[in-house]
Amino acid sequence: MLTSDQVDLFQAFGYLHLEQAFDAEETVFIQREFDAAIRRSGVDPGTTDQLSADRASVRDLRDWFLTHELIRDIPYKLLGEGFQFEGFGCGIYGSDSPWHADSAVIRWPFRHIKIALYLDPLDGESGALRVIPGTHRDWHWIGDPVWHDVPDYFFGLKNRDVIWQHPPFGLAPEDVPHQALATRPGDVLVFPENLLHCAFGTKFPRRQIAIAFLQLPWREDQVVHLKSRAAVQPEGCYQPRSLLTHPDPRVRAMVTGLQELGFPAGGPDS
Amino acid sequence: MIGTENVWHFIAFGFLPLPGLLSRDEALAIREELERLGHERGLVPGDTATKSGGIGDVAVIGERVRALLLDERVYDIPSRILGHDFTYEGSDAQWHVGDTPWQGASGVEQKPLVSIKVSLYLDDLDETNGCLRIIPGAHRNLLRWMDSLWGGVPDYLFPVRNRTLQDELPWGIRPQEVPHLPLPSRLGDACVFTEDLPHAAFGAKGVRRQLSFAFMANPVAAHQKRWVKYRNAMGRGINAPRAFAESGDPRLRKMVAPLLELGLEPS
Repeated sequence: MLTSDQVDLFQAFGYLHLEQAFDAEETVFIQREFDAAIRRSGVDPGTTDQLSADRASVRDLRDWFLTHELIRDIPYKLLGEGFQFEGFGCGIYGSDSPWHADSAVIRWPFRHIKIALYLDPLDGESGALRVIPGTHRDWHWIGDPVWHDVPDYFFGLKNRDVIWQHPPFGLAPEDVPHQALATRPGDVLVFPENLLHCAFGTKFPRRQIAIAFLQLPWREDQVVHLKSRAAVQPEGCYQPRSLLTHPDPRVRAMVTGLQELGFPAGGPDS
Repeated sequence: MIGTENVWHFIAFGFLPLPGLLSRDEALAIREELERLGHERGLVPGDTATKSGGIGDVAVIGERVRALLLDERVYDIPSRILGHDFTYEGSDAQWHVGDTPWQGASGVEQKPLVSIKVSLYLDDLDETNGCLRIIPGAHRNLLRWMDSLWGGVPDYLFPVRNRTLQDELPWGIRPQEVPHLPLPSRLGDACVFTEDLPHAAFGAKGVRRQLSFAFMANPVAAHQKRWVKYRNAMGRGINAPRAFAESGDPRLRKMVAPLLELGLEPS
């Protein structure tokens, strides 16, 4: 379970690295279920592209995570009571990811976090997540509007379309000062999407599980933002029908908040 | 010469690495001079020492060090970051023994003007033997002087700014585990940073040699002038070396001219 020190650490640096949060038995189970979901989806595990398993194939594994005490505790401590499920994915990353942080242009008016698990040992030279600690200014901004107007010196890194065209600070993207978060299977990383992050040095396809949660939107601007996003990108935020009828009331609570705001439930296989 | 992109790097991250600023031979010559000056004054710690040693205003007494201060590769740095009227704040040679705890801008006192340090590391250092570690982008006080809007923004890094808290466990983790960027360096490398940036060194083995030049922006506002006078009166680092004030080199005279205008006595 997260401690108050870890919540403060997240607030200061914008990420948490929970080493060996899952034990060996759980890790083997996760890897096995992930590989099975990839197979069922027909995704080539050796891809040099970035591909994800389909939703129906990952449903059981998703539900296993959502009923896990640790996975529930993280958004509860960071996003507060009423946090909502945003998405779950099993992806194969066969190529590098450039620097990015949300969009650099559109500011999300509510907080959201990603919980990531990498199922292979990774370090800075083989595609581990790289971050620039403390660059999660939009996270701060949502909680404290004083952050709204302070200059952002990292704009050039946030928009992934810009990076390849203009070396930031005159550097190759991989040379931008960063912290590489070397991970072993069983580790958990937690970060908001608005923390600058990337991955370079891909040597083999990385198996990644990502679970996203968002703060329950309640202000008008938050609801409007989410609805406009759902309208143009329906797959970006959805309430799986199977979660709305899940036997565990704590899991149902992760989706009913958005349902009450009028967001439609997803399809029957979701 | 540093370029515009280097200056933006410094502003964004609070530091600017300059690998190979000096050749290895040049750095060895500087190191030799510092060792000689330090031994003459009994300030170089021995192999079994537990306390660090250092020489202040070493550019006044070291010919090679003074020549380096005027070398375009160094002189150009404060000129580009602080403006052409930058002011000399000090120079020192340090022989560090043991670890250096996290520190950055004292955590309490806010320096009322922008200042930078150009440091040369005179040994090969990495994470295992005491290289500089920093928290990039955490140079809050410098940003505040770049843009006053930063003045109202909460600072979540207080626990690593105040070195008197070094015995505590910030965020419940060991100081070595605080998220940071290690800056391995080789003899002849330099790094520009601001003291506001939280920095530390752990895993030190033996003595680490460092030469630093400190510069500040020309103190033009009344409160900046008061602060400089206060620091000088308290004997806290800011002096106008007589050797600079009376030098035949106009660049040295220019570096201390703002201090003399404030009424600081050449020393």
